[in-house]
Amino acid sequence: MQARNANGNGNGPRLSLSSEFGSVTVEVDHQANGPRLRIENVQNGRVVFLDPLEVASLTWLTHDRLGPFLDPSQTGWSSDEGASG
Amino acid sequence: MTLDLTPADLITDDWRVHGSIYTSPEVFAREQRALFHGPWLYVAHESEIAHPGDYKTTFAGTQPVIVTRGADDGEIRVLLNRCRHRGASVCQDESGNANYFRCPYHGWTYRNSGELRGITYDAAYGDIDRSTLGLIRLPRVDSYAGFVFASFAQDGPSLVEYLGNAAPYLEIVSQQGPQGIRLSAGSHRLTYNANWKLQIENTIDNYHFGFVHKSFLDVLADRIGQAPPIMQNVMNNPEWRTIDLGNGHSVHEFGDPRTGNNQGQLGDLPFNLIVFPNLCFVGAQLRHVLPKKADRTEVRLYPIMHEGVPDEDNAAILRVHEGFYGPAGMGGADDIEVAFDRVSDGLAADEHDWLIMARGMDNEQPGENGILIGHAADELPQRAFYRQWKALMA
Repeated sequence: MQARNANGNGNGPRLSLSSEFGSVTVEVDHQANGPRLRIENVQNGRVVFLDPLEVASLTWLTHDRLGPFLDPSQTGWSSDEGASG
Repeated sequence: MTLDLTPADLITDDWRVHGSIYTSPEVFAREQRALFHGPWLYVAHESEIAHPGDYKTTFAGTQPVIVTRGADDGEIRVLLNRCRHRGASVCQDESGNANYFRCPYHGWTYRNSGELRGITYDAAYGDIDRSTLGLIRLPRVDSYAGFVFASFAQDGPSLVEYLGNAAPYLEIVSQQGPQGIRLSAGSHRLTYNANWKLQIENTIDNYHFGFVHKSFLDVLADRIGQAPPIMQNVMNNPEWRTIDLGNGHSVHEFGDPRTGNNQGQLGDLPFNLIVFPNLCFVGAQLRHVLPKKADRTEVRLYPIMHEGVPDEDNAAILRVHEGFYGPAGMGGADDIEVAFDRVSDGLAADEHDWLIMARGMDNEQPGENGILIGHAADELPQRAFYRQWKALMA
């Protein structure tokens, strides 16, 4: 059994990162069959879970290759969708 | 008031300086083109943007800029802090770490190297050419001894050529700590309702010290049991001297430029240095003078921390800095009142609108590499500044 943290959900400590452009919380999630990194966008509540292989693969990223995810028209502000912040 | 003199007429051969240099919005506007839109301008110290993605916001003249270190290539760039869409400033914080910037107005998003990465709800813009809509980069950026400068001009003298005789002094500043320096203490700011050049002149004016800062000298005398030697040195020590370094730069040496000391509990830099037009070194600080309007100025004071020394040594540097220059210090407030506010008040009397900048003008001695050497209390550094000012404004 996982030890309960302050959130009462058995996850690891929750870390917060904020800048003038973004605000997220990061924690290790233990609710699934294996550990996952849980990232929450504080500004809109959107959540993504990444498994260890996915996180390991991120270390190959250049910031340039991350660019498509930073294009607001492809991540939350698409002309085909409503505003999601 | 409409100016009826050309800038070249505002400084006479016998060093009368017209008051409109400090008060005229026309002169100020012309300065922004002649002095701040072409010559190299200091924008940052490398220690302020040490890591990929680091950025700081500051000003090149009156223009807001972002100084960034590339996310992937580590290259230093200087970008205008103005969204290409509707003109909002993109970065608000004085410093931070971000590989992408998102404008707070409509969400336009840029790489920290400037390229436009995306537009929110972009279908409405049709086939708009995004490749031409990045944040505007200043065309030239270079560093010397860790000090980062930028220029709005595509061509012109290299940074080393521009710094000229001032370059060795910047190297000495960069070597103050056994492993270099850093501006990790950040800055504090002062603002005043008068012209920016008054701060430049005052930074390297030794003539005023015994008058404006008499109360500080009295307190110091009480502490150490005798009158501090600073004014005796200014008036009588032949090793204390002022030097016109050329290109508008000037220095006041407290003896040997590597080991000199003002002996006044003002900070341990061995000289006061002006790098034209608006970078100063005095006490233990880098001083960045930011013109806002003809009668409005912001000054950012960055205490210089030493690399490779115990924290308590840097804490001691900060305490000395605060003692004279800090918001509750015993020196800075006097300069603001007398050298800025009272001068501004007095200049409102413009019936005979000339100031005198002639002290020591007949005793300037030529030195190597075209320098001019003067007495410590001479107005030689001010003339060094205005020689370049006049050449660029003509």
